Amino acid sequence: MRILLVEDDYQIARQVETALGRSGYIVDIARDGEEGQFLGETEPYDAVILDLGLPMIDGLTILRNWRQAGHVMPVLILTARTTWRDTVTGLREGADDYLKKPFELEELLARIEALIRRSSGHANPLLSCGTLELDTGSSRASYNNLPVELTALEFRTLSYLMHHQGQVVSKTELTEHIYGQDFDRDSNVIEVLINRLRKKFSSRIIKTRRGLGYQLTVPDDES
Amino acid sequence: MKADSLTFRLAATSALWVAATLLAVGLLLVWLFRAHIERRFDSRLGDHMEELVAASEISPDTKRFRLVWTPTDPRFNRPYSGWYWQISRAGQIIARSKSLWKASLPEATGTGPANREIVPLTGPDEKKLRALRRIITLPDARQPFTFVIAGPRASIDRDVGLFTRQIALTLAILALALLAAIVIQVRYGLHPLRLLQRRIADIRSGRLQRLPARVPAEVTPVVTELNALLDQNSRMLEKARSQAANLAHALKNPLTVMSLEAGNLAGERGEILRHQTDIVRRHIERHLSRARAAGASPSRDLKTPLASILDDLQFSMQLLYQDKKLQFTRRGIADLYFRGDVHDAEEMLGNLFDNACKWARHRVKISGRHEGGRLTICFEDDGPGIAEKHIGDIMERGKRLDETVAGSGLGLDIVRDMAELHDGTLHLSRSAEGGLKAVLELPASPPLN
Repeated sequence: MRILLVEDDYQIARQVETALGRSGYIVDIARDGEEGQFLGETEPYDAVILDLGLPMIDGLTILRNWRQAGHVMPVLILTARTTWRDTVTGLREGADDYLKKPFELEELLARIEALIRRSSGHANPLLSCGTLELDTGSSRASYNNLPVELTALEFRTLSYLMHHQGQVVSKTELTEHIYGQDFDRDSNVIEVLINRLRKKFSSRIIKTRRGLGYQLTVPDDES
Repeated sequence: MKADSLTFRLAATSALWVAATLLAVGLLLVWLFRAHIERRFDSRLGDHMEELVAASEISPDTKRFRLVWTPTDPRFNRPYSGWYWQISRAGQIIARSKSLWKASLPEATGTGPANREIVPLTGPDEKKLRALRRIITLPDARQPFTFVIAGPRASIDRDVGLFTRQIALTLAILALALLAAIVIQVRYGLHPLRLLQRRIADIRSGRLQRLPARVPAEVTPVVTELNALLDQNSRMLEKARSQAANLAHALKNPLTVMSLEAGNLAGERGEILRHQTDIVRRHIERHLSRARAAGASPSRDLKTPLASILDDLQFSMQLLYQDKKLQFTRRGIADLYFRGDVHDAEEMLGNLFDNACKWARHRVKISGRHEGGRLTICFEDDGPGIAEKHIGDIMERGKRLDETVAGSGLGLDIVRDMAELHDGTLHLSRSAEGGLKAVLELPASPPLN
């Protein structure tokens, strides 16, 4: 899962990036409004954490511009503006959540997880595909009720596929959502990752749609 | 009329002047009247003197003094009537009125011209007399004769006394009328000041923003200065508020960094740091909200509809707590208007609404009522609620923030503070729904007709 963090405070950006990274998210950081707006418009993020008081372009303006341009990624406003008028304005402008500074990292992570889950149409934090289960809240996976150890990259890949169950996810799309923006997109590392996941679960759970991408589905014998 | 009031000062000094003037006028009138009466009395004495002198002669036959006739006024014949005449020569009485009987008038000395003077005398029965004395040398007489005509002073004193009483009564009535006129004049003159005082009270109660410029010329400088002072005050307030807000914003980023770093510290040290940064956060929120609300003057013209605020807040809560799928019910909110600032209403309702949503399991119930210039708005949730003993802790005035119970740092203390700034109250109790019931009571504006 790839997240855009638009935050001009270096320390906060670093701390949030570290925490999100530990939870398996890829984080791109924009330090000003202009860069933030550009990245949001051009990169496919699963969620955006947006500060309001930004240099160049104000956070609310960025949000309005994104929404007017049809960008629907979930946006969480993270701000020191704590009045209810600010909150209502932010949410009316199209934000999906509003978190006031100072905040707890656990709360930010829980809200980001919920935002991403809801935006892909899942109400429950426990995603399942047959006997394969992924707890987005605790970042744990299990198969046939047995816990399965996953590396960070494996978790991100599985998480993205689980959030988009049944859909065909192209290699490019997968790369964009599990790697940062500087990653070399011609690499065949995705294939290696998919193979590793197939070995840990079942080779039938992730289908290859030739020329299109991968599809996570419940194996026929489990359905 | 208070003793230290301007009305009293002006009325009292005017009354003093009027009283002094009227007293002087009264004394002058009495003096003039007495002089007039005395002149008339003296003229009567003179007439009698003329008559007496005309009747006196030296007999050509005997060469002795004789009276051809005696004065006709019967009072000279009635004993001790107060009216006397007497003729003497070289201290020896030659003739006297019958009214003197056997007594005589003393040889008085006067201050006037020796041959005609008015002198005070004491009569035979110790009565005060006013006498005209003339020293006349009759034709063929070797020695001068002393003619004295005396009348009772009492008649003068009686007339003057009567006049004095009448004039005193008249002047007293005049004084009262003048005093009433003075009070009316002073009150009328000071009316613009009383009006100014009422307008200043209107500013304090929020009915007016500035003093009206149409005032008498003498009051205009005061009004101008007061308006300038109000403007300056308002500018300073705005500046102080904005500085408080800037300070709060400036503190929040470093505080966030500290709080996040504290999250990385394991054990007691991390816990202490987290707890302390949380206290700082709550202090900032609390004082920022107080700074925002404290300067807001309650205006009678303010009419903040609560329904639209709740619409906005409900929209926000539905997003912020969408995983809970809360059910909201609202009753009696449509006609509630808060007599105060819209931002303060948003903060109070927002914090209460947020608190209810945070703890609710399924339902949040909002109900309102408008009664006798006050409105109550009640938030109830079906959550776990707060134990009665902790409710007391939250509501206890002056309780330090770090001592309040867990879950109370939800802005309830802020709501209570803001409500009190608006002459309102916040009551917490257990709800029939199971959770917390927060009842906010505030001054209301009447509903729109």
